[in-house]
Amino acid sequence: MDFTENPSSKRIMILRVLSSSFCQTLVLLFSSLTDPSFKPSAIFSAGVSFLRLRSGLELFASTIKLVECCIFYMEKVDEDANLEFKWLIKKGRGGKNKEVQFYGSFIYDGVEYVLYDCVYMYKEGLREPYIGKLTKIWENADKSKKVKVHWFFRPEEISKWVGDTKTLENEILFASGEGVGLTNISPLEAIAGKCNVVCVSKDPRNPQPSDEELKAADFIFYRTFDVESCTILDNMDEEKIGGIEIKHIFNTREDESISTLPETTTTTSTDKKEENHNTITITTSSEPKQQLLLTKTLPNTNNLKDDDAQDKNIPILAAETTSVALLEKTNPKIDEKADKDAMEANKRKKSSTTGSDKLHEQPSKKMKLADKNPPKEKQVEVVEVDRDSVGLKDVMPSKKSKVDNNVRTGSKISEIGKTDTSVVKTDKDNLKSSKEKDETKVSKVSKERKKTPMESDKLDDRPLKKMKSKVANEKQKQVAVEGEKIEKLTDLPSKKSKVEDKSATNEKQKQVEVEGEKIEKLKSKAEDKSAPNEKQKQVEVLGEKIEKSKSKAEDKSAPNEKQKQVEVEGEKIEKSTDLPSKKSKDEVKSARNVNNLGTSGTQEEKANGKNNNNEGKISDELEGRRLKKTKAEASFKIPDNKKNSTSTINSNGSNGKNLEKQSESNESKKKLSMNQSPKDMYKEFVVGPKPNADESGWFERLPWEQSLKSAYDQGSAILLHNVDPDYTSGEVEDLVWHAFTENCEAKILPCSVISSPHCYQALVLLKTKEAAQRVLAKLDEDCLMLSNGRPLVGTPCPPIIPRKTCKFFGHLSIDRIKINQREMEEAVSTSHFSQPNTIEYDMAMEWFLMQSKSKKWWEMVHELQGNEFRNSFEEKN
Amino acid sequence: MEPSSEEEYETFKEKVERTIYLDNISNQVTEAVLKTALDQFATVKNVQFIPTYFNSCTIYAALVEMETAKQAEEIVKEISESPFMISGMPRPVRAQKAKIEMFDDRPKMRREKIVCYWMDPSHPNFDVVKNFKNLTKKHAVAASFMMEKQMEEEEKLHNQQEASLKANFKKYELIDSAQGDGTFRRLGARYGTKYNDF
Repeated sequence: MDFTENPSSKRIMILRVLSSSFCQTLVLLFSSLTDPSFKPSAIFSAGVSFLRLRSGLELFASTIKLVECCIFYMEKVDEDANLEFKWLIKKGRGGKNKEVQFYGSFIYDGVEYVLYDCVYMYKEGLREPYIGKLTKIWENADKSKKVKVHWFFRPEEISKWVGDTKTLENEILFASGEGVGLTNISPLEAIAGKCNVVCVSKDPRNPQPSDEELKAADFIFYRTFDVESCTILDNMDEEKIGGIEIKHIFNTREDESISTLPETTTTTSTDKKEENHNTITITTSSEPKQQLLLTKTLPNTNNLKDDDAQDKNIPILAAETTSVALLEKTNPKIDEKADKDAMEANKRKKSSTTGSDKLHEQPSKKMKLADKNPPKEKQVEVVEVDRDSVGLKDVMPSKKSKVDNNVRTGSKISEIGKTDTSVVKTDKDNLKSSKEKDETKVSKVSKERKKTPMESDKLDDRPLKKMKSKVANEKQKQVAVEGEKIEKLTDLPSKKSKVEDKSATNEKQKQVEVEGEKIEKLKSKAEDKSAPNEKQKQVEVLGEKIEKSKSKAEDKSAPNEKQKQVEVEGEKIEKSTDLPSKKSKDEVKSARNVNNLGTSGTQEEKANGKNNNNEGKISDELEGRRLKKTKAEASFKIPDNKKNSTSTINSNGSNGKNLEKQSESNESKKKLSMNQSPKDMYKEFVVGPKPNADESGWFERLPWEQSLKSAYDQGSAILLHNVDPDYTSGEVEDLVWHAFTENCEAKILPCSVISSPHCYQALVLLKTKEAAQRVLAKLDEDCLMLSNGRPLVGTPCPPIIPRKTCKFFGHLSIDRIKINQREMEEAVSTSHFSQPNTIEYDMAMEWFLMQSKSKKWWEMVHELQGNEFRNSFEEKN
Repeated sequence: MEPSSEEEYETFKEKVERTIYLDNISNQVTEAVLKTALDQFATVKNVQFIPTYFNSCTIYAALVEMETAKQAEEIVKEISESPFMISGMPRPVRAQKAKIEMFDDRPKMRREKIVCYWMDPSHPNFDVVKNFKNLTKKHAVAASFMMEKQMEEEEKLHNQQEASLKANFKKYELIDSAQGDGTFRRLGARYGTKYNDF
């Protein structure tokens, strides 16, 4: 192998050998010179290091143990450009001149994607990524990487056509037919992450998913949406849908076989060296079980043998136990020239480490969360050695958007936590490994408590393409906090029991939190001061405005405990009861929940009267939750929610009831909690862009006039008054979405001379009459205060009229010389100034008079109205 | 990348500056008509009708973008001074400078996030706000009533003018026919006055 002989090779290799008492890790790092962010100086130094490396390799060949370090920090490399990428399985070539290379799988940003995987596709400006299935993967001659994506539709995206059809909570629809919206060719970089989509079709050809699989699924589907006819098809009978064979659309079975494997690896990985050894043997041996894994999970090794895998390097994150983790990249070409055994061995070793990472990563992707528990426990024992793999494991599940999952992971971890407190460490490691590139900070494993917020902050600062990452971060953070929680928990075992009863029916994270927040008061004397940092961080990360700031020292621990309790609760939910169907949540339950909350809340207040400050925090938290917009919450207690009027009442009512039960001595506190709960409901919310619905771009909106007409005919049009004049139509749509969770089309009514300068209007077309009525009723009952400090007012849309059909006064003509309509429309030059010696002129003067009169009276009306408004405001102040 | 919202807003404001708001125009007026009509003064860049949706608000108006703000000003002045007819008489169009609010596609103004909230019914100002809402509704109704009234007035004027036009027309017809069928000549002979053909 000699790079100097191969000038076209645009790679830099950085060989880094780390030697410690625990392990020896060899890390290779390649980075393409084409990488724009790569600095020439780095290239030079890399070259130098390369020379050193060569000598080192010879040394290595003879001594096997190499103790030489070339340390390069490839810091500040733009993450965006540096998202690791690697082709895996190669397929045929195609296109003109065979310049297009197709692939069957690849690794992108540490995640392996296989053909027919479901992925999130990021699109700029959209809050929620699209979901699609990879049906082709290729690289063009110009090295641009493309994927062909067969789309899934969220019901919101096609709400116009979904109509009254009921859709399940996380149901999506597979595109079928032919035409626009079926597939798209996108840059591979647009992939935002893996999406677990499970087909629940009853079709006999479809392997039925297990309960666990269903729970782990991000989305399910069993119907298709025909993009041609814009209809929903209930069956998937054809052999092919949209050109894809049905077997690729249904679930695959191989997941299961893999999910049983990880134990073998985790048990053997008690020692890094041993682990290395193991994996090496895996690569060469034919042990059937592991071989299976290998093909999937050790792409590196595959590539080493795969001589023609010519290009992009694999970037694999390795969070190292010592202090620094580097990007690992291999160059298959080196292998080609396997003239040096030493090098070969080196790589073997190296790839095996990465391989082992992968081994853990892979199962974590595929396994159900439940399966994950045992291996993790084992790893706890070897935490010192094997942290990174544990970390990796947790990164993956944390990406799942389901709150359920999250809660479950939480509980799992906390269970472990009870058996062995060292898990706290692993939790921290999770954080670290998820950081991927900010490893330099990670060294102080034991003291990172205070650091945690900083780290997580960084996570968020990363200009990630990944839509998911934020969610993931948040989850990770929670995971991180768990450790502490667990500790606390063990300190306060007696209080736990109370919580347990309550949590029995409580499943949704939101509710969990609300409970947690109450219980937090119980324990608000706990003295962990560092906690508020974390809490605040979290709040910030969620884009909150932090209004509190006045929290007292004693209260500082509260947020932390809240968080803690959340997880604890989650755990109990898992543990205490085998709750069957987690998803079927009804309001009876939630109401009961709130009942409990109420009582516990007030009891706690008895015990500890100084919690006023929590209020702000709680609502912050709630707000944050809302921003997250995880599905589980969608049906509960956010003021802008559909069901919320009822649930609000529920919670208020039950709170009130509970309060009445309290003794009189609590009177003052009653007020307090009375305020609390509604405050949460009436919290401010920020109107951001709504999660995209109809504007996917594939289906164009109808012309406004047309949709107005049809909306008016079916009674779903409403007129909003007092709209802030600064709002654009789009913002009004967002507003409606946030306030009522309704999709709509909106248009600001342009002012004319006669429209009031005090009141701006907007037309809003909702989807259904019911929605319109609900919105009107809600606007009527409650007051939605806009950012201009005015309440939004809604009225039914006044009768509309087509432009051409309505009367216009003041244009006279003499019957006999009446110009016929068509000429009129085609006429172009029919304008003139009136001459003073004509009848026309006199009449025009009369109209002038009329116009001035009209102007005057409108002015008067507006002035009057203005005064009335002013008066009403003065009254207010 | 698009221009920042700030720039965009500035451009938009400039556009508003050179735009004329025309109302009292007929619902028959098309974009081409308006364009030709105002092209007499200066080059029209763009014509945009302000849509009218409601029965209650039958103001037809259009926004005509000229090339410079100065041109726009001049046109407004001229049209205000002498009656200018566009595709119909005798009601003249009315012109004035456009305002930002007249554009329904105005760009987003640079500002803080929109923060809204549902007001707590126990809030001391809740009733005041309720009042305010009622006031708003009342005003909306008042406005549409005013509009109705104005329409009535217009109709009245229209009818009145129509009548007078008819009368005038009749008069001229009469004169014309009297002239045409030789009545004038006969009468002149009868009264001994010399009748000259007009």
